[in-house]
Amino acid sequence: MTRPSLRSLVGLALVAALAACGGTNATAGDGGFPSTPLSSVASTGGALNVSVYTAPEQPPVRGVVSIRYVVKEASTGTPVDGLTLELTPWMTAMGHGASVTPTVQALGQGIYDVSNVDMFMPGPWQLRTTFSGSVNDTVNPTVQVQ
Amino acid sequence: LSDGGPQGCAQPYGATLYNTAGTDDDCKYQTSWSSTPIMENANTTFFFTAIHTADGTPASGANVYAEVFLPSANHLSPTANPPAVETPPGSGVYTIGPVVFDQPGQWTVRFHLHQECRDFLPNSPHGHAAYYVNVP
Repeated sequence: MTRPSLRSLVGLALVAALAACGGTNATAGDGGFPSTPLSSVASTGGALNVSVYTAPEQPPVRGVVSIRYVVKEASTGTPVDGLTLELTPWMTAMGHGASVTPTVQALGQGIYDVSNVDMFMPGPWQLRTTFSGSVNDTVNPTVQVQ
Repeated sequence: LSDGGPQGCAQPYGATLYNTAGTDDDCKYQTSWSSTPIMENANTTFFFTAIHTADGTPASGANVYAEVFLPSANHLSPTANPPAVETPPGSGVYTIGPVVFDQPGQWTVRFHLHQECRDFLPNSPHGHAAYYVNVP
């Protein structure tokens, strides 16, 4: 009987780790987001339905957070790609936002990940978001930061 | 990029201050700061003092939070939410740290007071004062 090589053991461990992580907790594109959205909102103009996810925690904990939007046409449910998205985290109760600008990455299938969202105080934060391109619309979901 | 800057009273934050003393954005507090030596990738401790503008008493129990970022790089300090302890209690002097500046440049440290209080009314104790901090 041959002894397993170190390379094969490492490979098995990697496969096991990936299996343990699984794909069930991630939406398409993964990135540590849960499978269930924190909320889903209709855009102000009614053109879009936007599902909101947060990572690394959902609901978010104070600090730097990532936001995932899954954007679909309200009328058909078709994912909407190619939009330009701007997000400003805003703490309405305090009258101020964050001091760094979030970074947006489009992943396709209507998925837009926004990183570097600094929600540094606990309480309600409004995610003031503008979509432009083939659809011009806004959403302002509120998340409760722990 | 909203680092405060020279924006005026209608903006969420007032101007970021040079030097080490000045009022908060709403003139509720007289604030000042000092620190241990400031170097890249070293632990820095801040000593932040706040007194009430109205009567000169120490702003004790102000639940201070220091927001530390490098505006030119759109970058936050890796030491998010550094602990702030009023030392001694009742003094209005807060020891905050460790704070790490992981890049050289002109950083902003914005001290928030009474972050737990909403800021709807003019007499809310919520306030903030921001200072430039140069990291060699």
